[in-house]
Amino acid sequence: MLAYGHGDVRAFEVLYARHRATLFRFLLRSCRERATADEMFQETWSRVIAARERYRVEAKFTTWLLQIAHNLLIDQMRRHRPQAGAEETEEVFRTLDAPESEQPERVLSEFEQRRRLQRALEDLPDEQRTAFLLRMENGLGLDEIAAVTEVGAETVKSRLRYAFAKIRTRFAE
Amino acid sequence: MSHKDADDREFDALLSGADSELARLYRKLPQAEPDAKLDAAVLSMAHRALNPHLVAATQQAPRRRRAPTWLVGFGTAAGVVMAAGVAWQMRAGLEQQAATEALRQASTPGSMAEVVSVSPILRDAPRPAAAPPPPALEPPRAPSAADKANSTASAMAPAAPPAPAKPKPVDALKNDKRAMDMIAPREEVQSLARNAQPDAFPQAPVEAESRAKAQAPSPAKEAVVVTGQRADAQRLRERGMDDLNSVERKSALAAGVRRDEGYALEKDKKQESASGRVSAKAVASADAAA
Repeated sequence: MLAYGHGDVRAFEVLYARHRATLFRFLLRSCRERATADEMFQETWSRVIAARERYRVEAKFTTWLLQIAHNLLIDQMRRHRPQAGAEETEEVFRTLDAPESEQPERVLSEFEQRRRLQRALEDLPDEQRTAFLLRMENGLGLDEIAAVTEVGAETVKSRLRYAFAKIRTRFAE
Repeated sequence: MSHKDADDREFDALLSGADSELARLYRKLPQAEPDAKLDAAVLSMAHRALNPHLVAATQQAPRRRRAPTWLVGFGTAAGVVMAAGVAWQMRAGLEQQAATEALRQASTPGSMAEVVSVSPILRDAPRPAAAPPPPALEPPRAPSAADKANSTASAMAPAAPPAPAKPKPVDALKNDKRAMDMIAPREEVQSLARNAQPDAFPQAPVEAESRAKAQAPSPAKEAVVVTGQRADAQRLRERGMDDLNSVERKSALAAGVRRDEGYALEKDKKQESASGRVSAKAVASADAAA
């Protein structure tokens, strides 16, 4: 990114090739609309290009890139969708605490498992889904997720735990 | 309790990045990627950011496409050529028309032009105040002094200018005066007027004078006409009202002959002086106009 800030277009092409897929999937699975994901993907890179001369090496480029994308996602979610409430979290905990006899064990096909995971991700609250995606899609650790989402590491860990529990619940249905 | 422990272990594996069932399942999800169009847009954006002159070129290109210079120049030149051709055609037509008019004017003599401008007025102008009786209805009679004057005037008329009764400037009146002199000398006109009967002017002499001034701009000509009317009235008066037919009676009444009028010569003599004054006034006014 520093090389691109000094006028090296090839450096930008390398950066883009390295992060394009993971960034796009993070955006697509966060907003769940292809057109919106395209728009935010282009807007994210546009902001990267505009900030090329102000860029300082204070964190990983991936963290900075995902931070930009996350902010765009937050803005978009605030415009189109309310935040998830606490009732949904309580419902997850009740399901997790249910007896084993009430949770039917089923052997699901791999296709069905992927479909359920997809739907479970869509049903997650935005903060939990973002933390889960940043961990699973982009491989960020707790501190990096905390930096991207601008919350504490413990908050990130809690969000990840809630997200994991809901996904498991969906698999158990 | 074992299920919860299994979940905790799997969650710890998720945090540590170790391979887990959920991570494997997640990797099997569809791996969506941006399409080539989106990649091109982002890369183009990065290139334009480093080369602003490319942006200016791309912004000016549509402007050039919108208004091609050669097309504007060609259109202007075509318009100028067309306007010049139309102007040339119009100028040629005007020149031809002017030449035709000049030829027509050159072939026409100036005297003819004057005659043409005057002759239509001649036919309408000499209308006396009192319509004279139609000459075709006059019965044969012995020639009198008034008839002699009329015949003299008509014999000399072709030599006179054709428009004596029309309102004219002073030069024209002078011409008329000369024509009247040619028709009949002033003394002859005065004698004829003296011989005419005064009853030809039944109204007051002042009224007759004003009517003569208003309707007859040429006093000399008016004198001839008045003399002719008086001669007709004299003729009718000599015949007497009882001998006239209906048409002649109407003409006599229009000329001022009264029904009960006899051949009172004394009365005629009295009025003769009045008619002489009218004729003298007419001659005087003709002289003044001349």
